[in-house]
Amino acid sequence: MKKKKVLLAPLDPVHDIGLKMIKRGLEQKGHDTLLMPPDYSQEEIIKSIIDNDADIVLVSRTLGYGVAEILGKFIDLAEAAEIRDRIKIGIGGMAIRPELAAELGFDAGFGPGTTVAEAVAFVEGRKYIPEETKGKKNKKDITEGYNYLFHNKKIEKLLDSIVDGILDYVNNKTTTAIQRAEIRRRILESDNESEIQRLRVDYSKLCDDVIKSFYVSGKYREKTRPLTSSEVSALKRYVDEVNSRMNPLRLQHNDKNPVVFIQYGTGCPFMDIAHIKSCEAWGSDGAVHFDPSWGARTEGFLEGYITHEEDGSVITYENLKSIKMSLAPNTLWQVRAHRGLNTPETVLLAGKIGADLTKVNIAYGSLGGGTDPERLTVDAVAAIKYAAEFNMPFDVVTNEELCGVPAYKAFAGMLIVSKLGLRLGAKPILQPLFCYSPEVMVSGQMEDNYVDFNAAKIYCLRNIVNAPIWCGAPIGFLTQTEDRVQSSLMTALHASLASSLGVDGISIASSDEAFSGGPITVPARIDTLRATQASFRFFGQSSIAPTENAQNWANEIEEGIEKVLESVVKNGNFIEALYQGILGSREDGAYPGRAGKNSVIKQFC
Amino acid sequence: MSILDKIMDAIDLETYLVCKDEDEAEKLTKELMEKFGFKDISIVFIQHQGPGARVRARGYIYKPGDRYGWLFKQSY
Amino acid sequence: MSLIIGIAGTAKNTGKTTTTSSILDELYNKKILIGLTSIGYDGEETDNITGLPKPRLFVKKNTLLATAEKCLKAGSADYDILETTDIMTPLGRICIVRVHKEGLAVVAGPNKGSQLKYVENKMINELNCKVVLVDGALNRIAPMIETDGVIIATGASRNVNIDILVKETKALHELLNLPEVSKEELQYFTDISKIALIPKKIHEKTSFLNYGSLIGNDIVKEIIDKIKCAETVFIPALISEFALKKLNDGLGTLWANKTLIIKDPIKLITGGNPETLINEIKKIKFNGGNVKTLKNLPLLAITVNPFYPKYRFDIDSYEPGYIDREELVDKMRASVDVPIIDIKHEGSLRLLKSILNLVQP
Repeated sequence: MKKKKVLLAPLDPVHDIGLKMIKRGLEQKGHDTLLMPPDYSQEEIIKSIIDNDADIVLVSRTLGYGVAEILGKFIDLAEAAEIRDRIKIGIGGMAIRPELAAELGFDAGFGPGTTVAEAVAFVEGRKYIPEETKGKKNKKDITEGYNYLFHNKKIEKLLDSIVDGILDYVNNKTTTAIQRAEIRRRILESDNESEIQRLRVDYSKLCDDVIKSFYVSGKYREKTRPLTSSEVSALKRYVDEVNSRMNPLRLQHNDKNPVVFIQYGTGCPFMDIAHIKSCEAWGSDGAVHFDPSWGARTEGFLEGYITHEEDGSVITYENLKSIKMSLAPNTLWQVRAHRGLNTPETVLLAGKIGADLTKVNIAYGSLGGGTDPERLTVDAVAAIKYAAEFNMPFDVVTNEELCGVPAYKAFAGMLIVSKLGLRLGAKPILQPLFCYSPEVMVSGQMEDNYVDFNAAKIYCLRNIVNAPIWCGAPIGFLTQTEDRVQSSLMTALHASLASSLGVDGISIASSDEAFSGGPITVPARIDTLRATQASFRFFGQSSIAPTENAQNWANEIEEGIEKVLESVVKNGNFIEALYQGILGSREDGAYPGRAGKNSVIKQFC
Repeated sequence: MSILDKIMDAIDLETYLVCKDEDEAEKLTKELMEKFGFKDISIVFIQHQGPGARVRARGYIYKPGDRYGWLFKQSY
Repeated sequence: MSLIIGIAGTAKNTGKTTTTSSILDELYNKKILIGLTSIGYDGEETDNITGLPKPRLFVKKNTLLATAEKCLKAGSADYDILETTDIMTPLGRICIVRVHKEGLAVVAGPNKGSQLKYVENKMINELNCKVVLVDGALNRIAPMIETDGVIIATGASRNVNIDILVKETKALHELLNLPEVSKEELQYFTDISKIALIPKKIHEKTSFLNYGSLIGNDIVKEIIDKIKCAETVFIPALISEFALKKLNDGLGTLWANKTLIIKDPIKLITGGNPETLINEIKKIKFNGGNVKTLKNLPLLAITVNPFYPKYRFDIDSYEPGYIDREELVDKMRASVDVPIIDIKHEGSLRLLKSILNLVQP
């Protein structure tokens, strides 16, 4: 490409920083530039164009006053000086709208928000394509590079002993959930319609009445309805159209910044898709599927495209499939199976449809998620086996902290399930909470700042094991208010703290996180995505420095974990430990769930 | 007496429009604000990505130098 | 015989659009084939819903238009596209179209003089237009040099002081009607693109400067240094008011028996205020010099509008204001020797007659 001579001139009494940036950008590309001092007359600028034989002139105007008169005159002068036809003239600045520039006869107008790359493209006579890298987002494996080596050998030993106990306990035990998952698999893998019908009958027999009546008489649960075929085909059209104009932003400013997940579950898979596509466009890297809470208390899944009037989107093969089909190829997709009576089938469906990640945690699911500890343990082992089979890493979420369980107890449970996952050939991801938890509210670790205790959690986990960490869920939980600026700022700062601590992933909320009066909106999602992007940009490679409290608390948490694990081992049985409150007690705020109590089936071989 | 007298300076309207590009978003926003009856309309912010555009439109009620309703009417 | 007419307004609300549509109407009555274009578009008048310029001109069947692609969809008229040119504008390429269904049109034409010339040539030489109207844009005047003459719309919106308005218009008229050079001189100067200092006898030892425009102290100084043996100073491009003043200060009586030749009045008007420029020209004449132009831009007529939007502080709103119509028209007529017409008051027939005399003598 031919090197250009570019004259940059401010039509203002003061200098425009934008011109200086563009000058630097042009020089880096090898062009000759000349930056005029500010407050030169228009005639003087015209003369400089002639004297320097410039090919291109970029003028800037930041003041809005009289802008049309001044800019119109500049073009007139260029024309009267008979240089208009041999030079290209661009105009930029705060006062410039592209339409105004066009109306006044400029070749291009750059308003606020113009990038240096855009101006360079104009100079080089290229069509501007927003940052070439943006379109090429890669799907990141957040477990890559971790070998799960335990630095704390004492903890490892304790975990191994507990996991031995779990595997021993679940041996020769099954549940209807495990059986349903097996039948579902055969339904999905069969192409024989009569066999499928037979299997559906078998399946329905293993379900609660509300689900059974769907299979038997086609009745839908209250507050759910099937989506019509016109809705289904319109969705496809919508997604195709949206995909044709997708050019997603990137949130990360450097490689150190974690991948960013958003959580969805509006109740309607189609609204979910609309939200996910917008989040993808604004730079999210992944999406987490939330199912309705009643789904976790009900034995069995429905079939078909089903919408739901309340929070959480119903899990069916069709719903999940339509969501998966709508995702950008680079979007990480997680389907949660951390609680409830359908965890094996959830992971099976997720795996069959091509999810990237799932979520399993027996301790949280039974202490904070309402599922019976024994039932969930048996189901979880089956679920983790599916996760291993479909090569889906799973996170071990520690949301029991939100019930009031102290971090060290929640972490003990998380490490047990993680070790169980490793033993079953899966890849666990640690998910500590970045939150203003009841524990710290009472004990005061966050009285001064939100940094130290969150940092302590990461220091502690890194000290124990070399494993991926994904902060959740969502980060900043209970620090946000209904005010969107405050809410977005809290999310963004927690995101940067996570980044500073070198974590691999984060789940972020919308700025509607604290609002409970209705469904969240897409603008609220964009708020926090933009805030996170801005925060990553702000901190770059620099770090947030916790006080010495962080290291002290990290040591305390680690000691606490050891003690909890020792007492689980002493107690002899993980499931019993859950019932007894060793991993979170009633006093803490944790209650062993009752859904699926006494539903484990003993098998005799 | 109008409730508008109680507005210090402007009403901002934030929404997300499903549309093909920023130009379309701008047109739709202006149309929306006019439908609401705003006279002095500004588009404060607009960003289009993929499915649609995030917009913040503003209808000025009082600009500096105007005769402000809230200055004279103490209660509504 | 065909005619290209530019219509320029001196400010908003001076009645440029009224002038253009009145001329269109009268031309339609006379069944004259019209070409219509504009210099860019007047973005102030955008339709808030479509974001496009508001359609303000009514065009009848067979009228030829040069307008940007996107504007073809706005308004109510329909067109057959005759040519999609390579002229790019932010509203799309300029298209040359023929109206096949009459209605309101949005006209957003090319905004460079060279592009305007291309469009005019097409309309006159290939499409047989008898009159081409070029609707002006506020803040742009330079491309108007590519017309055969201009109509200027002025009035109270520009200035409510009638005397100032008349003085300014008179100065503008004088600038637009400088004496033209002879055919022989025209031929000689046409291809010269640099400032030339020509000695007494044409073709002898002409001294050329590196610049075409008179726009800086160094250029002024060079002319002063070399003026002695020159009889004619030819400036083919822009002349700034400031530089012309400097030149006059430096030359003073040295102008005696010398001639300043400019390429066209636009080269002056873009560079300064009409009254100041006329004063400088008068100074040259006072010092015994002369000023000529290769080509004039005839001022065909002036339309005046006594209306202006009047601000009322007590109700914080605008209301229609008017200056004395008769005084405006009378004073203007007494000072400026071109047809002065208040279109709102007397219609455009007289305006058109004076113009048509040029097309169909």
